[in-house]
Amino acid sequence: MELREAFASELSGRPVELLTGTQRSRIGRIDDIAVAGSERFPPVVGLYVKGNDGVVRYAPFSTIVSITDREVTLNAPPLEGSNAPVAIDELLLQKELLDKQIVDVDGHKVVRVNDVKLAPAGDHLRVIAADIGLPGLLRRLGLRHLGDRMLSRMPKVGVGASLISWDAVQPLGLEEPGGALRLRVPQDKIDRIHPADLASIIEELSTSDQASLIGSLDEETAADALEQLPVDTQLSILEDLHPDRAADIIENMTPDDAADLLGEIDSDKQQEILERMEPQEAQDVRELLSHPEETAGGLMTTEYLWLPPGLTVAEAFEHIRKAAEDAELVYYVYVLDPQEHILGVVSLRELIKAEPGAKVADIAIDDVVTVELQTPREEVATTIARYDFVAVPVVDADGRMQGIVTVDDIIDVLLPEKMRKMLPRVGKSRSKARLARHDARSTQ
Amino acid sequence: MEAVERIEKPSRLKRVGLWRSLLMFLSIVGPGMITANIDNDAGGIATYSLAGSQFGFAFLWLLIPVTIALIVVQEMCVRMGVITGKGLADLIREQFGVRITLFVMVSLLVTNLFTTVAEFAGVAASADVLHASFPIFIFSRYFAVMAAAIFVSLLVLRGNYKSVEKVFLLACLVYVTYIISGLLAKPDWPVVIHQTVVPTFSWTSAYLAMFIGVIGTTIAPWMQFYIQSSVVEKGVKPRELRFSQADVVVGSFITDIVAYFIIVACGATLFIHHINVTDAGQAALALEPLAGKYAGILFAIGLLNASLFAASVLPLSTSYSVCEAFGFASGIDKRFPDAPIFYGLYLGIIVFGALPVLTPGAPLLTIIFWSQVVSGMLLPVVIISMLRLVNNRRLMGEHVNSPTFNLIAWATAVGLIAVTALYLVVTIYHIGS
Repeated sequence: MELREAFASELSGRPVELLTGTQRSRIGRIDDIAVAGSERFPPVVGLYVKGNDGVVRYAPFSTIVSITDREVTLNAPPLEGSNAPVAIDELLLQKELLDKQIVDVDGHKVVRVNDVKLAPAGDHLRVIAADIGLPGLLRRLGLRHLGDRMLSRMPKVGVGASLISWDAVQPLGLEEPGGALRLRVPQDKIDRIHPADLASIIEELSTSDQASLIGSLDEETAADALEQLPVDTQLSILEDLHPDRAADIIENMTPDDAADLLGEIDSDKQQEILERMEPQEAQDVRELLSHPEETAGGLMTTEYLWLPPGLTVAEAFEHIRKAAEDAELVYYVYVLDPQEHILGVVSLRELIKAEPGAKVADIAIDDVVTVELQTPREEVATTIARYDFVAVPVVDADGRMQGIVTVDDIIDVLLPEKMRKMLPRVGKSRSKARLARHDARSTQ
Repeated sequence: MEAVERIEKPSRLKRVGLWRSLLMFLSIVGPGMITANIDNDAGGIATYSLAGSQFGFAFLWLLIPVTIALIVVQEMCVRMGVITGKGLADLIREQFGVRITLFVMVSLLVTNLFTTVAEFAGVAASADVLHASFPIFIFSRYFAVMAAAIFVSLLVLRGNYKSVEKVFLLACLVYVTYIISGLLAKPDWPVVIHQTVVPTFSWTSAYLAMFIGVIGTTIAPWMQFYIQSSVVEKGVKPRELRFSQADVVVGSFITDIVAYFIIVACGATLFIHHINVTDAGQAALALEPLAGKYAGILFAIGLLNASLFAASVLPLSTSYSVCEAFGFASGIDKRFPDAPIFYGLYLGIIVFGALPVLTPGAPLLTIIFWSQVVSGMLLPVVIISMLRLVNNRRLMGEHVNSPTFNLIAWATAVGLIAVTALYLVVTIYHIGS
């Protein structure tokens, strides 16, 4: 098989000839190129050929004899539509990739595909790069030589390069109007991007692409990215997502963030999503939603660290190790009796300083400052400020612990809107752990 | 139990529905209103004034089909924006490829550049009128245009546009003066009504040019790109579509009622007395029934506001559209080196928009009028592109055009092409003039 480098735009419309024995006959032109979208460098799996009679037929890759600058030669006639196999990950270069927007994973931005470069690799012709720059535009306009000259003067990689390697390209899932995802392209490349960068990419997309991108990410990454977006965008995406998908993602957010978000959408949709969430998570969120936003109950999170009474420091650490993954804040650990009354609180610093054999009861503070569920947020703020707390526990009328309000949530409340958005997030240990994993993965 | 619940639910929903609908309408309204007001820019005021002063009430009938066409065309853009979530330039590039995109974008750039020239000419013209009453330096044509160019650029590039938008919009209330003036001028109402409902047509070169100009200034190509982007930016959802549609209808009516009365006012004051309008000062006389000797100042304020408003929106919208189409980096949040083509285009449009006006002796009204005629001639390019997109089932699902809409849109495009051809023939062969 004779293959050579080509650009998709040049292949479109190229004459196709059928070789039977020694006879050549012109049977049509290339209408589109099908590649296996799920591979890292997608190989061509077949060509769509528009025959002389105007009918489009499919020529599997195995029937290609050669692709030259002037024509494509097949050794068997193309198949009729009904006989043509369509793979689930088939991506059409002309119809579904050219001129569409994609995510440049390395450059962290959304770009438009001007052209696609194919090159022979082994026995296959593979997609190796997307042309997103001016040379690509010039080539499409027929000014190929000008484009090539320009290309040779531009940097090959990095900022200003016209070609980006295909393994840094993330095509967006292709949707029909009405939201059905026609083609789900594996999103593993996107996972390499830090959630904050992912969020800025998402903001550049059109509203329908936003939902489709978030919807196709794995739940953890989706939740991370969603948390970084401004509220309006979050709501818009949530409205476009299927309730099942929305539920999956929201489960992965911390309950208080989830409650904040769900609190903004209308109650029908809210109910739909809550019903589809895991019962325990949904319960936590419903609990938080039941309290007015301006009270301690509305601000608190239910994911805090606690210990039963009577433990030694070493046993306490065992306990904490298991629970730390899900806790929003690890700095304070509360000692609770079986009825959930607060017996004392101990800071992580004290636990670390103490001997493993010491009793927690000896180092904990038993005069614990608390606020109640309906305490207004301004009062919660003054309490935290007064005692320089990182968090304050929230109790109900019977003194049972309900949750904690962390200092970052209360700062959000007090500062004017504009400043709020500029602040980094503190104490969101779940996200932070994930972010740390992202950093670790990307430096590998 | 069930039957009772079923009866109760709808009525409760209906009460909530009305309030909610009103609130939703108010939050979504905007793009249609803003576009409508910018529609009465320097080009609009000048063209309608000339139509009234040169042809009397002969063009009033045209405003009715033009309003219908305007609603249809704008609604198509709004619908496309809401359903696809993408701008018009974006869609054109995605569906038609690079070559056609280039053709459309060049057409857009040409008409928008000419229209920008018209806006600066409007600034100059209003400066002239004010200068006649107050001969001070700041009302000198050259100073005013340069100040306007700098003002508009700073306003947009510093991002303060949104706060000033409200001021512009409020100032558009000045157009009410035309309505009042038109009524006070006591035109021959039976004639006015007659000319409104009975179409007339003429084969003269001047008439045909005015025909194209009136359509071109009312249904400006740039408006379609702008309103679709606005609706996308607002994030309007499909279930809120009808509010955006209502927004478009209301906006179109407002803009064309103002146009109507500009023609009536000019017809009743200028045409009757055979005043041949060659500069803005004369066009201002149309407001005399209302404002007496202050007609000039009133007119100048209205024109200045209109020109600055449009000059703030138009060049930016154009830069966004072109960059969107070709994938160039864009956005005022980016620094100049990060989006060179975007900023270059923007500044280029401002500079080349202002320069022609700064040449001494530039015939302002002529420039403004002909920029709108060019708009009218290139409008079919945009309408036809839109028709191909809005009828594409893969894009729009069940929201493709109804046959009526298709008919109206095609009729507008074909009609314009026909009249343009007719105009060229008549002018080149000097038929009948």
